[in-house]
Amino acid sequence: MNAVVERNPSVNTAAIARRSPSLPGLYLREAGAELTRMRRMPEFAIPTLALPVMFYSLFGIALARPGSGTAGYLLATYGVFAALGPSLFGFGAGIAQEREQGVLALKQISPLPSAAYLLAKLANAFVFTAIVLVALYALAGFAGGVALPRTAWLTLFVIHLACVVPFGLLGLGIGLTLRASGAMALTNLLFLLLAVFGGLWMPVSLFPPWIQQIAVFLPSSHLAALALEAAGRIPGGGALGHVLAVLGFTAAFGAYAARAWRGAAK
Amino acid sequence: MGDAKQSGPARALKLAGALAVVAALVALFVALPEPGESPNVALAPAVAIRDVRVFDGERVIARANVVVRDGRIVAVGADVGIPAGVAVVDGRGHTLLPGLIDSHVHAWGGALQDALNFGVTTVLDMFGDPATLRELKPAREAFAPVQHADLFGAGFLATVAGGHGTQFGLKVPTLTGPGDADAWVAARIADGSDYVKLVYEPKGPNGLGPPFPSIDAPTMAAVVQAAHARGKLAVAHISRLGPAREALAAGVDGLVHVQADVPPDETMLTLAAERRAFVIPTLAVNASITGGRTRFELAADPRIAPFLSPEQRETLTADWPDRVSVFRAGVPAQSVRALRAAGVEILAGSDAPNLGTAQGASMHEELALLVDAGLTPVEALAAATSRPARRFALPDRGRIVPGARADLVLVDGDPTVDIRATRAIVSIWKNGARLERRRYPASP
Repeated sequence: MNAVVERNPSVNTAAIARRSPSLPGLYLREAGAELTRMRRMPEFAIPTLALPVMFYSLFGIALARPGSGTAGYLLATYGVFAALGPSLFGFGAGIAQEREQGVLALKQISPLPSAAYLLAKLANAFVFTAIVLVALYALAGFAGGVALPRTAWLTLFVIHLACVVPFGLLGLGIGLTLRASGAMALTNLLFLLLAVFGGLWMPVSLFPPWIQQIAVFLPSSHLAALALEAAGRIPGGGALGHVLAVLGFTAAFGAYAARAWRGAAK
Repeated sequence: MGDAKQSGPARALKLAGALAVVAALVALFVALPEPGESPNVALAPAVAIRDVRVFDGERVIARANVVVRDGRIVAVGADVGIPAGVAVVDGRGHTLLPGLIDSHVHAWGGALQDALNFGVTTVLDMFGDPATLRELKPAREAFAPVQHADLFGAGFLATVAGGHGTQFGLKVPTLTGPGDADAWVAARIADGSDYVKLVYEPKGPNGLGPPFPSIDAPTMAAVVQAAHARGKLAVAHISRLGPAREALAAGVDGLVHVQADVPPDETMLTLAAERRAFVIPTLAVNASITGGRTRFELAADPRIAPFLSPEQRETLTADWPDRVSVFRAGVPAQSVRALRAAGVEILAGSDAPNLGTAQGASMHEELALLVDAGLTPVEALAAATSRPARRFALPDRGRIVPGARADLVLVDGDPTVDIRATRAIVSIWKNGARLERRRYPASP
């Protein structure tokens, strides 16, 4: 809708002339601008949206054996995977690039609250993840034969969306500390590490025991465990440990990102 | 809001767009399937099998017409008319059997699809992931066509830390003593278990036994009691005569193996017969442990080989590692002979996918081994159909009678005389829908 407004010069100038936006309005506009930017960059948006959907269609549905329960299991883990791309790449590689282009410095010296810049990125990652989740749930429910109680669908959605926060903070830290090329390389590595060894593409139990040990140190595996429990795939009882692990990782990534932000402000 | 400066129409348009997106999301969310909802799948079209020999789960009907509609058998008999407009299958020279029930499997991955490919339409899992069990419960109640066998199961088994059952990667909740039994059984029922399975492998009086710990006798008895108190069957894994006797004395409803060390003595036979316990001998897996060759005959059988998936072929031809074992070749068959003579009910189970067995396919070997061990072909077929259905309370399975679920296997020839004819499968129907059997290219 922003595009409509912007293509209309009379409205635009009028808006600028009378601009004294309220604080929430400022946040909304920044988030809207970020979304518009993404929409005008389909070479980022489309692959980010398509990758989890294509992978799930292949491994969760097309290759799954009837009666194997694979579609239900992988829905829980691919939902976590859905948040990984938009968060890591949108924040990590994206911010590193904007830093190099000087966009970040511009935002920092402008009267825009710095939180608006970050929340816009966060909102964007939420929207991207939500779009992928909608596609995944529709595939699972209508093509994969996955049936869950209404509360489980809802809990799953909340957990999957919440994955954006720890992954986004990790990406933010990387984007603020590394150069664009380095950030891209590291983000790629982390993306694969978190997805594969966190058990998002296939169950960790299929790996040799020593690889299974790696999963304990990855936030993705704890998020996947929570999602699997919400989907009724593993018996309850261990949730508290996973919640604490996720909170711990989120706090650590948050501290890293905050430190990086202060460093980048200088 | 900060959008006060936008023109009215643009704002309205924006609002309408947002509302439409929210409405679409809510609609999708409400439409997502819940368990137990009858999925919007059409039932299979009606079919009639005419002039066919029928083994109805208990006895043989020399010639009958069988009519199937909406996933159920609606009529069986020599004088049953074929309704107009119904697809007709010529059954002359063939025998129609109830879909087979494998009373001892461990189902994961493609197990249920592999089982159905060999006419096994229902499996009783004796230890597996309870999540799979829960997920597949709605499917086994429905009559919509499916591409896999139905699953009933024990979920986790009763064992101790480090005991049998803990070595496969599933995190099994274990017991430490009789005091844990009631809560453990309650947790299994909450998991969705249909019955309770325990592993009883204590060390013998001489200190010999399997190289892993087991629940002790009081815990075993407490698990049986707790299961019965909560209205569930309790079945026991044993491998030796002594523990088998103890388990029967404690009141287990059935043994999911026959002992393989020495044949049953009078005490065991009397206990089993008096308590009306059933035994699932799992002769096929015992044979593979003691070096039997029947599985290789099965794997090479041209009626079996083309339908074996790579996984089935792999497990069927895999060898057990050499190790000191109490298993003696011939003892299981001897035990079955003695148990049958004592009036103990025998059920057919394969223990697939253990080494030397394959989901579905090994049931055809098990049936032949049961006949070799003294069962008549009709008894062996009942052991794979009506008997497990009755023992495990599966009311609409294992029989070809009006009202029963239309899980059917049509075979060439007469397995009520030559049991190996079960391998010559002509057609399989699951919930009244004809299965397109999967063929696999010959492995190199």
